[in-house]
Amino acid sequence: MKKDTAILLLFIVLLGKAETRAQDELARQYEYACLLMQKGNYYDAVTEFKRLLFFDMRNKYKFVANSRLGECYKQGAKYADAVFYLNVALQNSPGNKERLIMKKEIIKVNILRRSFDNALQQIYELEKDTTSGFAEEADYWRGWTYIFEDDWEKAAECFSKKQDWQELKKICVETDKHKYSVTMAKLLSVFLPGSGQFYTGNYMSGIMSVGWNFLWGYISVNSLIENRVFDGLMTANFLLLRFYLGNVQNAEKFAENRNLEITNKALNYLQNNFNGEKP
Amino acid sequence: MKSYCFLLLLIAASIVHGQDTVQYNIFHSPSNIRLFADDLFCKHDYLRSVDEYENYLKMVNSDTVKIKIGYSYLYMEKSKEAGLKLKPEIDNPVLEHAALKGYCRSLFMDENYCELKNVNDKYGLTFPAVAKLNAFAGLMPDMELSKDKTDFMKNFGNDEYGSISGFYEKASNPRYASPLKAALLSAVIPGAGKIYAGQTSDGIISAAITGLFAFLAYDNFHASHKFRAWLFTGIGSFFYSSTVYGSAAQAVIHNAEVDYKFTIELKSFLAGVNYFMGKDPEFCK
Repeated sequence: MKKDTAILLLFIVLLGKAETRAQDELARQYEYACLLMQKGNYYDAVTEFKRLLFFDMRNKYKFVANSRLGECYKQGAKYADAVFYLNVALQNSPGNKERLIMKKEIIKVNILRRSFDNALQQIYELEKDTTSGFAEEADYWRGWTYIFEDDWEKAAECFSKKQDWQELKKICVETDKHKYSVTMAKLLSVFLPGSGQFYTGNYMSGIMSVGWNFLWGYISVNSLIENRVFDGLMTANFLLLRFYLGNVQNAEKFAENRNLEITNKALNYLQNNFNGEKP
Repeated sequence: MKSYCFLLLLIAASIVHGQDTVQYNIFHSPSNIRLFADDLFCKHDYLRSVDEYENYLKMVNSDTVKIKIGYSYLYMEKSKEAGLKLKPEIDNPVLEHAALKGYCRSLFMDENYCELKNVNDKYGLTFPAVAKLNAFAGLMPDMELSKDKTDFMKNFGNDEYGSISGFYEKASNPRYASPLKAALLSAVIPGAGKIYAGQTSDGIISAAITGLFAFLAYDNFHASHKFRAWLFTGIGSFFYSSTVYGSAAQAVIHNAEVDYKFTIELKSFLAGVNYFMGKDPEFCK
C-alpha cells in the first residue's frame, strides 16, 4: 500500500515538474518578446509574440500577447493590423479594467489612422457605459480626435472642460488663431486679384497675379471701347478668365499649404513636448 | 520486486516525458521553427515565414523548405527573389514539382519570357501547364506571336478554345494608332489626329479653338489692329502646335492603353484558370 502511494506521489511530482518547465519556457518566451519590444525592435517582437501565441496551447498569454502585438503594430504604423490584434485582445480580456484599456487603445489607433467617425462612435459608446468609468476622459479623447481632424476650435472646446487639460486647450487656441482662413483668401482674390496671395504672404505670386489680370483686363476693355466686341469677349474668355480663376485657385492653395505648415508644427510640438497621454 | 521494477519504469518514462516536454517547449528548436514557419505561411505572413524557414535551413537542409521560401517570395510578388530560390530546385519532384511550376510563374511575373521559353523547351512536353504559360507569354505585347493559329491553339483544350482564340485575335491584330499619322493629320486639319487616336471631343475642341484664333488673327490684321493681331497669332500658333504634338502623344497613350488593357485582361484570365499552385497549398489545409 505504501509503495503504491509513493509511486502515485512520484508520478504526480514528475508530471507537475514537466508542466512547470513548459510554463517556464512560455514565460521566458514572453519576457524575450517584451525585451525586443522595449528595445524598439518591433518587427522581431511581433514574430516572438506570434511564436508565443502559437505554442501557448492553454491560451494563457492570449490576452497579453495580442495586446502587445497590437502595440507593436501601432508603433510600426501598421494600424489595420494593430486594430485587429487589439480586438482579439479585447475579446480575451480577463476583466473590466483590461477591457477598458483595450477599448481606449483601439480608439487611439483609430485616431491615428484618421478613422474619425469610428473613434467618435467608440468614445460615445464607452462614455454611455457607466460601468467603464470612461465618462471623465471622453472629452479628452474627443479633443484629440478633433486635433487630428484639423478642427482645432472644436478641440479647444473639448479641452476647456477640465482644468488639467488647459495646456492642450492653449495649444489648440493658439494654432487655430494662427491658421489662415481659406474662404477669406479666396474672397480677397475674387474682389482684388492677387490680394489673397498677399494675405497668405506670397507677395511675388500676388504681384504676378495683379499684373496678368490687369494686362488681359486692359486688352479686353480696350477691344470693347474700339467696338471690337468679339475680340474683347474672346480675350476675356480665353485669357482674362483663365488668369482670374487661376488667381482664385492659387490663393486657396496657398492658404491650405500655410495651414498645413501651421498644423504640422503644432502636431510636432505635441508629439515631442507634450508629456500627457496622447494617441 | 515487481513494484520496484514498475517504479523504475515510471521514473524512466517520466524523465523521457519531461525531456520531450522540454524539447517541445524549446520554441527555437528546428522542428518547432518549421511548425511555426508553416503556420505563418498559411496565415499569409510570408515575410516572417521566410525568416523562420531561413533559420530552419541554417540547422537542417530541406528541399521542401527551400521551395516554401520561393513560394513565400512568389506570394509577396517578389518574383526575382522567388526565381533565385526556385531555380536550383526545378528538377526536384517534391510537392508535385512545385519548384518548376513556381519558377515558371516567377518568370512570367518577371516578364522574363525568353527564359520561360527555354524552360518550356526542356519541360513543356512533360508539363502541359508550362507549355500553356509559355504560349500565353507569346500573347504579351512586344513578343513574337506564332503566325499559325492552329499551332498556337494546340496547347489548349476545347473548353478553353473560345476565350484563348479571342486573346489570340486581339494579340495578332492590336488596334494601335500611328503617332506619325496622328501628327500629320492634325498638321493638315487641326484636331483630326486626336479624333484618329480616339479622342473625338478633344479633337473637335482643338479644331474649334485653333480655327477661332486663326480667324481673330486674320480679322485683326485685316482691320490693322497690329497688337491684337500678333497676340491672337501667337495664341493660335501655340494651340496649333499643341494640337499637333498632342495628337502624336495621344496616339502613344492610346497604344499603351491598348497594351495595358490587354495585359490586365490576360492576367486576370490566367489568375482565374489557375494553371499552377493556388494561394493555399496542400500543407495549409
